[in-house]
Amino acid sequence: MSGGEALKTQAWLDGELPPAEAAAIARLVNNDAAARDLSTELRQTTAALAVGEPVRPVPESREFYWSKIERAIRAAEDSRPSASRPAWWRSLARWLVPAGFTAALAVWVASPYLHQRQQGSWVSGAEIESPLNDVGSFTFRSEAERMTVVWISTY
Amino acid sequence: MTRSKTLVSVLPIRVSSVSRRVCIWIAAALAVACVSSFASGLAADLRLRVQLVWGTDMSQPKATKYEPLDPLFQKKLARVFKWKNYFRIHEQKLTLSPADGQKRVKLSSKCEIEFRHADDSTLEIKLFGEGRWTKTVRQAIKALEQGELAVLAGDDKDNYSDAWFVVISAPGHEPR
Repeated sequence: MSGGEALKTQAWLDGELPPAEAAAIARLVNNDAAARDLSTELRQTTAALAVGEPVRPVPESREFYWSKIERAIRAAEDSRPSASRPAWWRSLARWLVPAGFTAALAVWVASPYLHQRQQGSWVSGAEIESPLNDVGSFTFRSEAERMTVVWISTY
Repeated sequence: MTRSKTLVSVLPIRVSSVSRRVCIWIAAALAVACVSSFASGLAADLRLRVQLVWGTDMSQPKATKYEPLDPLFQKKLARVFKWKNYFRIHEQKLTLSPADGQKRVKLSSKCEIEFRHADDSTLEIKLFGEGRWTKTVRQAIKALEQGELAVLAGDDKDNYSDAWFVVISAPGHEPR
């Protein structure tokens, strides 16, 4: 007998199965020794509990009693905010943490290159050397034509 | 009993999946690092077009082998300088990478240009006139790649009413 059949046997004894399934389980209990033993044991347990279990009446109405339990559960949940949002937070952190690490690594690797590019981003036609005494020069830039000109005059 | 069973069966799976995920992210990080390094290396390669140009008010050049300058460059020069006509004496293209060190281009018997990466972002241009080192200028590579023209120019010694120009540009990023 499988675990599913055992559960259905229990449900059958509690009267929770639809008629078709109930008939099938009844046949199983008649034909299968294990099912029969289980149903006998469960019946005996139910009978023992019905006879021996003490009845403790609740001094409040049913609705009030359950609303107290509900309030207690909510209060417990509110007092543990991290426990109330683990699902989305954990899934977000699972991707964000490594993604952030990767991005930081990429920035770290590229930063010297980017820094260098920014430093020398606009050194347009800067004259740095004129080794000859008989050579003069001046530099100008046309913003409209986007052209840097170094004009060289030889004396 | 149920709890211990769950721990025994689930824990090894959790550990292996976490370590696998960590490996994947480390690999991704290394890949990003490699791509970044590769990209920065690629950026250092620079394609250049160098043109020696003659500016004049004459309609026809003395030597007929000179071709009229590309209209795009011609218009730009004409809007900045006084000369009406610009003729291309010589043109050369080259690719410069830091590993090359320096590259020298001969534009005419009297004019040579030497290029070198001063650093990753700066191009050093040396002008040699009649074999003499005449001038060194520096040009931002980024500016060239954004369409900037670097021009070295001067009066024509033989005819002061004319002028010569060395026009340096980055092919593919030139003015349109």
